[in-house]
Amino acid sequence: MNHRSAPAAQHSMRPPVPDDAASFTAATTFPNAPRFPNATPHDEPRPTLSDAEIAYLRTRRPFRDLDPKAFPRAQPLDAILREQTRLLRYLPGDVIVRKGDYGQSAFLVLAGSVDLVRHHVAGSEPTAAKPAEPLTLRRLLAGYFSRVRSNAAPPSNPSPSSNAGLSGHSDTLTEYRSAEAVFPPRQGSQRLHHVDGRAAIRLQDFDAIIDAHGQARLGPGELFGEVAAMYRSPHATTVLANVESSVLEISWRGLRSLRRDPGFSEQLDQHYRHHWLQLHLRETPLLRHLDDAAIAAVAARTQLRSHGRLEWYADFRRSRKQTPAQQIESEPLVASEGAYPSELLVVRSGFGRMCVQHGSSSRTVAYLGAGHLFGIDEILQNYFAGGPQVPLQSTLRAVGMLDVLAIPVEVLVEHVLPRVRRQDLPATAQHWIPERDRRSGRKRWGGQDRRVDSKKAKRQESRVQDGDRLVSSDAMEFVVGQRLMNGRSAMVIDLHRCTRCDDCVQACATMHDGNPRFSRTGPTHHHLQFASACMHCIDPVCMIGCPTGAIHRQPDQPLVLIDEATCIGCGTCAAACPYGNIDMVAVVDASGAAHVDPESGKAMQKATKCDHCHEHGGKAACVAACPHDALVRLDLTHSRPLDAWLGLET
Amino acid sequence: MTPTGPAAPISTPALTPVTTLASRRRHRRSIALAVTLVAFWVTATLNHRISSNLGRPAFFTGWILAVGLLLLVALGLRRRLPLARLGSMSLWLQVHLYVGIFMAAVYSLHVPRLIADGFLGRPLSITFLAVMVSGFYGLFVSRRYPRRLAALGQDYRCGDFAWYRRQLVEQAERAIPAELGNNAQHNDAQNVDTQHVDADVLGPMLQQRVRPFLAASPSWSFWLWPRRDRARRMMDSIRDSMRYLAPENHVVAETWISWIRQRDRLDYAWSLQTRLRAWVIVHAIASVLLIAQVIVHILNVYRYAGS
Repeated sequence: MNHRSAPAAQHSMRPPVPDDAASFTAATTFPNAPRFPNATPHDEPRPTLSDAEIAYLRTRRPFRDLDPKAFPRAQPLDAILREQTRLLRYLPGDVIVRKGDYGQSAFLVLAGSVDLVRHHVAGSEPTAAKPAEPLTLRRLLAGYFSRVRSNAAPPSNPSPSSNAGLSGHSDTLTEYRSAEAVFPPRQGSQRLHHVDGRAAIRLQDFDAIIDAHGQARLGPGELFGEVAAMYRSPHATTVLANVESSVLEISWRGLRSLRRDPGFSEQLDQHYRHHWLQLHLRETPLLRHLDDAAIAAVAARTQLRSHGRLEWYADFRRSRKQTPAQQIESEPLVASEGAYPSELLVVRSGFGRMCVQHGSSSRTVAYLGAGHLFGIDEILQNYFAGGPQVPLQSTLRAVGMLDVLAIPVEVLVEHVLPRVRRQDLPATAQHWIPERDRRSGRKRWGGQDRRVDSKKAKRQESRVQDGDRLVSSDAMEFVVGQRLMNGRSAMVIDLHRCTRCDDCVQACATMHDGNPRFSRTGPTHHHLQFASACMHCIDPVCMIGCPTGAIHRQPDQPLVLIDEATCIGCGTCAAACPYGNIDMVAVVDASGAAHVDPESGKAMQKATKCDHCHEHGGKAACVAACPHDALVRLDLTHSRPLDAWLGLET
Repeated sequence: MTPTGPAAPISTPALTPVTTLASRRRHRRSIALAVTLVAFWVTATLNHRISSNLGRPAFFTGWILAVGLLLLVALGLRRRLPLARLGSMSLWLQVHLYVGIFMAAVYSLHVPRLIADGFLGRPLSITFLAVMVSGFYGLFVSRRYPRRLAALGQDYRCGDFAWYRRQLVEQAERAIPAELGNNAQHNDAQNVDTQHVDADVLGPMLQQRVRPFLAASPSWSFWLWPRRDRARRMMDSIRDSMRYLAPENHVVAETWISWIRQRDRLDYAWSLQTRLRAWVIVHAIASVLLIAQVIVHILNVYRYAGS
């Protein structure tokens, strides 16, 4: 049942999403999730808080301590509470926050208590990881015949072209699902139920889980999830309701508005500094070997900065149509070429674009992701080489949203550089270290086989300087412009090798009951096509707002997966995916009849996308099926894999 | 406030290890060529020894060819079983290519002339050569055609060419000025506002050239040998006629040129893509025929081996 052969990139068969940025923002951010025809009643938007509820909240911490004068007239405190928060009730054992989920909200306990569990809680995810099934002859043959059947069966959609929505036919796609896939047996410890009309996952044996792994209990007035919400990163703990509890959910936007109150903002920053900053600094190779006193000194002077907008996907639809020059101009400036390197910037989250002045415009030379450093080469050169001070050689701009930790250069000179190990320094910076220091430092810094080839570093640098990277710079600008650097496993097709045989699509179909999970279309740059397949993003905005947590990341896996049994077909993820790589499909059985939701009596829809063949061991069938090595899955969060694949890296 | 913040490490490891594809290909090609050459040298040496010892070298090379043939057809089996973890198709294709080259060389030992004699031997040789030639042709087109397709600037899906053509015709018909459209349908020159659309120039051009070109299906000869002269001539002709048009009507002619260019690209892509697919079909059918003939050949050889 291959209904996914859309004719071309521009004829995408993705479900329609609002075109204008404003409506897209509204559609993808809390609390006004888009409504789809088969969304169940419990998924309706909740009403805003009443005056009485707001008055009650103003008597509770931290709101009673906030200064109403700190908020502008256009958005007073009451309006923030009314529009950016909602009251939720949880029953004992309900999962409030799941470890690994992406935070879009912070939670304030109003009544009752909640337990924090830092260990992975089996059963808290929609469905436990399915182990790879043993490969039997029967499965092999079944896979083959399902493919033959899918090729032979007449599509229920009139023509593939009709999916494009250009010929006036319905946009609804249908896909075959077995009953087991749609209505799987429930996990022993987990149950999906409704509380006040809202879907919730309840762990039935939560007492045993808390006894075994419970780490802390929070009571009224305590806030959790705020750091994950502000930096849009996965939650570190699972939070379960211990007793029937009332919780105030504060959207990240509300949280940001509340930070206008200096006291509240200071409280949040102190919390981050106290609990997380040193941990995050230690994850930077440059700082990992510092002793406790030094890291504390660095942390004390480190500044936290945010550039750009967290909701970058709202601007993306407009910005992707701009020229690279327009895009660069519109991006917030973080550091300017030619300025004195007064601090080292460590990218905490988001992306930055490094560009250099080229003619009368700017040329992208690299993009930075989490963990990358900006300004290190210049700082090291100034420190080791002496002589006249070297200014910043490139400009850094925020692509969408960029969170950085800024470490002043004097702190580096005092606490870090005297202690740093050579292998922790970037390769491009190695040749700034004088030969004498290299010799003496080899032992001190444990050099031996980790010695970095200074010739290679020089070669790399000269390539940047002499313009050899122009080709990759071109591709890089495309990747940044299309925000493809968000993808940890982007499907890239070399059109100079692809014979358009579609064996990749066929292999995908075979692995998924005859339903291919991607179409060989997508944005193209020269001979590189970035196919419309889920990229398993590092910033998976599709996961924001899923009412049941059906779209999730499995523990210790970078893959973003959809649990079909828990998916209620609301379409939030499909609308939120900025790349249009999630489809809503009507699921049918082998006879073509729609599967019906037993509760609502309506035909079921499911969100579907590439799952990287995780049920078959995680090795993508599309890659293995390409006879010409034309298709690869690349981690584009760093520019090196693409460079290496293009053969530009030495 | 309680620490429930982010757990993600700042450094995020890559999903897949990074290798330079070009260097991997070069490395693989060198190894495969070396293995093929060594295998052929061993085969030729053994063949010579068997021959020197008055043995039957044709049996030796014949069985090598038969086993090689099985290896070659295994590629099709692997393609149909993506579930099985049998290695990547890319690796299998490389094995297929080099076994094919090896077999072509062994064939020269087995049949020391281009086409064998005999009622059954001759068709068998011809089929073998057909498979071999189609294989080399496939190697050529699968390396060349993707670049040509990529150079077109737009990717078309193979099964949807008729739809693309229809879309183009519909788009063109919608964009044709109403005066010219009426003129075309009713042949009523009196209704045409000649000052507005230069109907005396554009009308015949549309009727005699553009519309027939867009409406027609590409010919077999175009499929076999996609000559793009016709489209180019037509575009040149329209450009030449533009000097007879009022400046405001130049855009009409430019639009028509763009349709012709689109249609030309579409037909060219169709020709390349369908030839790529047709080649696979021809190669596969010839391979099946070859297997059948080889089986008959082996049975015959062993039937008459004693005589």
